[in-house]
Amino acid sequence: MEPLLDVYKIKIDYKTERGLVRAVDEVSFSIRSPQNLALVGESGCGKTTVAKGILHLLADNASISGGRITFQGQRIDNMRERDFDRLRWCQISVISQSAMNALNPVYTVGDQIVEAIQAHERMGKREAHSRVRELFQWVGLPPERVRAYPHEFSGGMKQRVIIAMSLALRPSLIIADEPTTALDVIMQDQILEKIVNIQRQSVSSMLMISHDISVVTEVCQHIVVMYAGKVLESCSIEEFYEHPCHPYSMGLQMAFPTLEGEAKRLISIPGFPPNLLEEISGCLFRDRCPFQRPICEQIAPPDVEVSPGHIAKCHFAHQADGFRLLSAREETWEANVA
Amino acid sequence: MTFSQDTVLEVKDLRKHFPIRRGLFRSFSRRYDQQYIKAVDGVSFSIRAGETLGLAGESGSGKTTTGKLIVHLLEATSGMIRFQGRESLRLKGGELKQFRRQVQMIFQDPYTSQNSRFTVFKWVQEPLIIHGLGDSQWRKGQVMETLEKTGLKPAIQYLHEFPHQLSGGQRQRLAIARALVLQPRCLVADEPTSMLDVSLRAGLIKLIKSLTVELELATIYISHDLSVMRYLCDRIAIMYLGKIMEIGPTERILKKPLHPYSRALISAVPIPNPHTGRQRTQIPGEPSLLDQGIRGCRFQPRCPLSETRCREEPPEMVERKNGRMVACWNA
Repeated sequence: MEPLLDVYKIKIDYKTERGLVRAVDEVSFSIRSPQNLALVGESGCGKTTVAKGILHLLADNASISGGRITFQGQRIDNMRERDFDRLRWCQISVISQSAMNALNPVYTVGDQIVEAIQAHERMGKREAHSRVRELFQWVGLPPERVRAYPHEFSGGMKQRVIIAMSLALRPSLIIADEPTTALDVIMQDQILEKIVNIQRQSVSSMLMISHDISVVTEVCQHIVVMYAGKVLESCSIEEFYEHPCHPYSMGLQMAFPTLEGEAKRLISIPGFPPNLLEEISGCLFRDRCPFQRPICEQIAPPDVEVSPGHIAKCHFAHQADGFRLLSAREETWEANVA
Repeated sequence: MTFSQDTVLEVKDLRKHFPIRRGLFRSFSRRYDQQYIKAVDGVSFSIRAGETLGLAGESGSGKTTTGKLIVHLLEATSGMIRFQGRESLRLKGGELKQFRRQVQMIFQDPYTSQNSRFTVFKWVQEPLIIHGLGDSQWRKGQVMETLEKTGLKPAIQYLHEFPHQLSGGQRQRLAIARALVLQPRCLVADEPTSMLDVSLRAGLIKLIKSLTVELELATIYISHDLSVMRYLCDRIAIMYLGKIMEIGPTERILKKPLHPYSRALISAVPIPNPHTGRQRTQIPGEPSLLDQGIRGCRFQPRCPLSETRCREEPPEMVERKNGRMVACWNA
């Protein structure tokens, strides 16, 4: 079956005063319908840039310099803005991290959603308003609050308004960029539950961008781990949990605190991501990798298919079983600091 | 609570009530009734040297306000804070300055809380100058030593850097260095890891933990992230609308929470294991300040176990075994 969204070897460059920065380098993944895919990585790894590239929201100094993006069988990366606008909201919508601050303070929230609906679909005011009430119920807001202004809502409620807005036209793909990062745990839990339930009802897919492995584990089926603009590992959530094959994925998991089971030793991955302005040969993660060998410096690792649908960009992906045991030990990562 | 030898800080019935401002004309009205937001409403705990206490709760629970009251960034409405055996709320002048040297705070956002025109050296040295300590040579030694303690080593490499040349993790280490250069006895850390990436977070957690033990600090760690607290805190106090609902040793609270709100907070934390099938939290809505005014327990409107008694009488803090305390009729 044809995927809903197919991102194929996409490259995105930023023009800066100090030269060209390749923020996204040959990133590929595809989302079926219905499926939730997570794009995870640390700040600066390019995950948000990928989303902006899909949505035609790149900054003026950024451009897609290679690859292609296909949505429902149609190329969208080189689409004219006018044509892409027809997909926006109707087919592809966004929930962004600070979206709750993007609400217009002088209009009621109901009017703002109605405006978004009417901009994209022929619909009478009355009908649009009743749609908004219905949406409010979906996301767990009292329908009479459609007449309230943004300042009358708490942060969590504003984020629900944004979710309602993004669902208004029943899109087939929702791009959620850290949708709950600004909220505390109980509100996060309520909102994630709403998102998952609504998705189940409306059969939509989601691209979720996050740094929080525990959140994406509960919401998504597939995970793509990015680092310094490249995909280091791409596999199902279960595979990622049970058989991570890239040392970076192992490090991320060991670094992540959890309430489950006995308190394990947390590791921290030494060092910093590479400076993308510099030309780097070999593996981008090698300086921080406790398992690096001479070959990692000379040759960029290929995408190794460890099992069907599980890809890891590591020369030693097939030896990952041994690494996994070692990666659980603090000493493994500390030894590398020197 | 008795004041034992190594108790560094003791807080008793601490309150901070912010008046709600009304329009000018209404304040002249005879029927004017001043109302308050009770951000901190009767909080008590104590903390020993070398111990880390976590203050956990949702936004609006009063955890940050409690931290600010302890370091005197805010003035308490009532209550008592005893620091090293002395009442600290009434301190003035030189004594207050002395107190401030010993109780330090680090903040959530390392990007906005640092002066971008100060080099690392100037930034860490400044507190020493403010307190008029030592000569320039001694201060330099002090700065270097503190930087190395916080993992910014070799210190000489960092002295002349500006904050923007440092990464987020290094900036937060710089914040810790500035707080520790005065050799405080008590450190209040307000979500210092929440803006950091996972790979660096663990490093900072370990640093705070080891400094607390090594320097015998009394550390108060404020956060809503219980999974981080599990690795850092010896005890946790769970706050709701300005009151502590439950306090006790970390693992015991996480394994067997007594208060229904603790249970809700713990069950809301997502688990990075696809096979757990976690039960989502059953607590609806969010805290409302209106709930502070009710007669009974302030958590009762959201509580799944609420009974008649809970609506009528607020539960007292009751001591339970293993150093735990809980305020709930049902616990």
